[in-house]
Amino acid sequence: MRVDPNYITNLSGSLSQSSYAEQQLTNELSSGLRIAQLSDDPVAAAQNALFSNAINRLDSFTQSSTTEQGKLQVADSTLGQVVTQITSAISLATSAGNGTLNASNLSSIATELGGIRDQVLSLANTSYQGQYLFSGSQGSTEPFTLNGSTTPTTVTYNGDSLTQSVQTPAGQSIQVNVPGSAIFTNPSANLLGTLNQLITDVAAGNNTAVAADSTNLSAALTNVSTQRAVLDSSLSQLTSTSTYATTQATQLTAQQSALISADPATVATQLQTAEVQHQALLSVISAVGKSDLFSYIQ
Amino acid sequence: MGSLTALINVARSALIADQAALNVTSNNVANQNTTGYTREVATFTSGDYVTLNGTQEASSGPTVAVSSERNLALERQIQTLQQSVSSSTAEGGVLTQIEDIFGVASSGSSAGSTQIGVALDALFSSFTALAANPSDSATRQGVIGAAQTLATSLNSAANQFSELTTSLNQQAQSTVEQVNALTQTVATLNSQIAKLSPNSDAGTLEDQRQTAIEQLSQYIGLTQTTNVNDNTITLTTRGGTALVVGQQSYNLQESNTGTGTAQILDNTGKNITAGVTGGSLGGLLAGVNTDVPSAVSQLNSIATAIVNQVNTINEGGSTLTGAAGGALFTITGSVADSASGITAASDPAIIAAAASGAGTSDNTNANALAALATTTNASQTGPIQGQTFDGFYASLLSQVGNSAASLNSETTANQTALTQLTTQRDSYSSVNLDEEAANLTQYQRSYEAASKVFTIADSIYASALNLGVESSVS
Repeated sequence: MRVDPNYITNLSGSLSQSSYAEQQLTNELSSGLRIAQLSDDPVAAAQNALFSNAINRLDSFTQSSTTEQGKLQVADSTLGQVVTQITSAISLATSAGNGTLNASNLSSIATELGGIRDQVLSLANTSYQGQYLFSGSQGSTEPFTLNGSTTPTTVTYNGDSLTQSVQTPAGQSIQVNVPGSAIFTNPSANLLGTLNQLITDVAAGNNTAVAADSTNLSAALTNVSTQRAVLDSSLSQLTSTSTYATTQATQLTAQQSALISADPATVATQLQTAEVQHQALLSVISAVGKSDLFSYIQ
Repeated sequence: MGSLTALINVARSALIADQAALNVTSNNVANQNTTGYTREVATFTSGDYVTLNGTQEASSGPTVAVSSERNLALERQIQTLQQSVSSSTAEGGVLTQIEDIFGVASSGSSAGSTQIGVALDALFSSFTALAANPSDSATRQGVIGAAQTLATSLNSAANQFSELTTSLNQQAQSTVEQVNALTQTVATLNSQIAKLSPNSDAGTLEDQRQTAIEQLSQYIGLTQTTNVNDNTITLTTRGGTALVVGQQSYNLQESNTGTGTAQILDNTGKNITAGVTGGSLGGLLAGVNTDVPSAVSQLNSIATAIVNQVNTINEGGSTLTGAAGGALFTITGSVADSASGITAASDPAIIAAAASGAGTSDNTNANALAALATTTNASQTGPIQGQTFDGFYASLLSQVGNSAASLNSETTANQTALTQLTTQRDSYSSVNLDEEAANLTQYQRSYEAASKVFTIADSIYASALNLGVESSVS
């Protein structure tokens, strides 16, 4: 049998292959990735892109939901203060309506009620990060303006009745605002209108009308609490969805890492094996091919 | 007396034959490292016999025939495999460069991501942020930034593709020149072989011709037939276009179609691109005419769908001033090349986060924009139809990766087979120094022995002439 006399040349080809293997493994160690090129594992590379996308969506939802939660918390505490103000107004109306107070007392109560009305108005015009909270979609328009030239004083709503919502990664819509018209000038429980009417009625000493206004105020209080509950429910939904999104992102990140990260221990072992093979090849090449029959013919 | 003369004749022929054999051996040793050299062997044939007085006696010594140890079937197998290896290596090179355009990098926020993938995700994230804060100028600027990054990433990928196409066309051009030079060489060798050795192996000329065909096999796929009349080899492309017929070679031409794809024309100007497969030229053509356009068209499909979807939604909403939204993306030039022509607006004022007619804090439109991340592009035409942006992009990545991977394994398998065949061929045809050393010693000894025969015959002659007296003739 004849052998290939050029086998040492072929060995040098193997040598470059083992160098290449070492180089690949060193790259994996330095980049920390199992995949340097798409062809290393096309399926994993494609899945990785989808993982990145999903993680990214969850992360951006978590971030935007933080902004929305801040806004909802401000709206909630604003409405909390409104409730306190309405409660004071109701007790003032009760004392004004019992028929025992003289005109000067009634006038001072009317002034006090005017202060409450202004307070509620300013709460209704609360803004967060430069945008009014209760103007529907018209964030840059002050929602409520007072017109003192009429009796009773009137309040105009300048916003609209649109609501906004955020989309969760699962596609659920969560309402993140309640338009001011539903809270402060709701036709069935008109808070600011009732307060203005009350001020006029107290100043005029009209006990019957004050009692009716008091009833209306209670209705407005119920309405504010109802609308506040809407915001509270959104807030709690956002908080829990956001927590869930964070957990999910963590899990996906772990899966992604398992998919395409290089395991340093494995790679180091492989590198060791490749290095041993490389050394062995070098020794073989230097050992063989030094002699042929010509060396022995004298 | 006649047989004594024959003895000297035989010894003389043996000396000549041994010298010829020594010559073959030294030629083998000298050409040990010559590419394509096929070792030669000296075959001894015994001389003629005459019958004298009823006994057979040799009248002349042996003769030596020199032949090349060539296995043409093996050579052809190697050449065919070489064509496949070169083709898949060349196309693999193209696919690797396509892969590099979608290079996987590890970034701080995400492990193993590609530039366009990150830019797409960033755009959708910026829409989500916009929904949370529709009138904030920093957030709106963020949307513009993300849109510009995406446009730049797509431009950059498109540019890299166009540079790749240009360089592949140049490579195809220079490969065609090499092919033309080699076919001329084969034609010249054909003509020499037809003159010198029309009926048998042409030795070193045949070596050179096989070497030229093997080199040619690296560049282009071939079909070869040997013409038994004059020992010439006819070469055609796999599609049947003549490259070498007898002593005549036919040049190919490469022409760029202007749209980036490459064409191969025969010497009459006929387009024979489809018939050119195998060899690095076949691989390059597959790369520049199939692989690159496929990836580019998918990239364009993404760009066009982004432009259409984002602009339609944005233009249907209201900006901060209540005006209708503007075009966030514009395509300069042909829609078919949207990836290279896409640009993003620079003015955040054109972003419409609100539904048409709604106020500044409305985020309905921003939500619709953010929802594009999961929309299935049902209304879009082209390959992206019915798929999400990320899903389509991921499938593009897996497609590019899969073609490269399958081609790589094909190359590896073919390369292994080629190595085995080459080993087989070399073990049959290459010069083995041990063998040559042994032959050298053998022929040297044989020469010495023939000389000895000559000396002895001479001394017998002397004895015969002197009739046993030792003095006068020695």
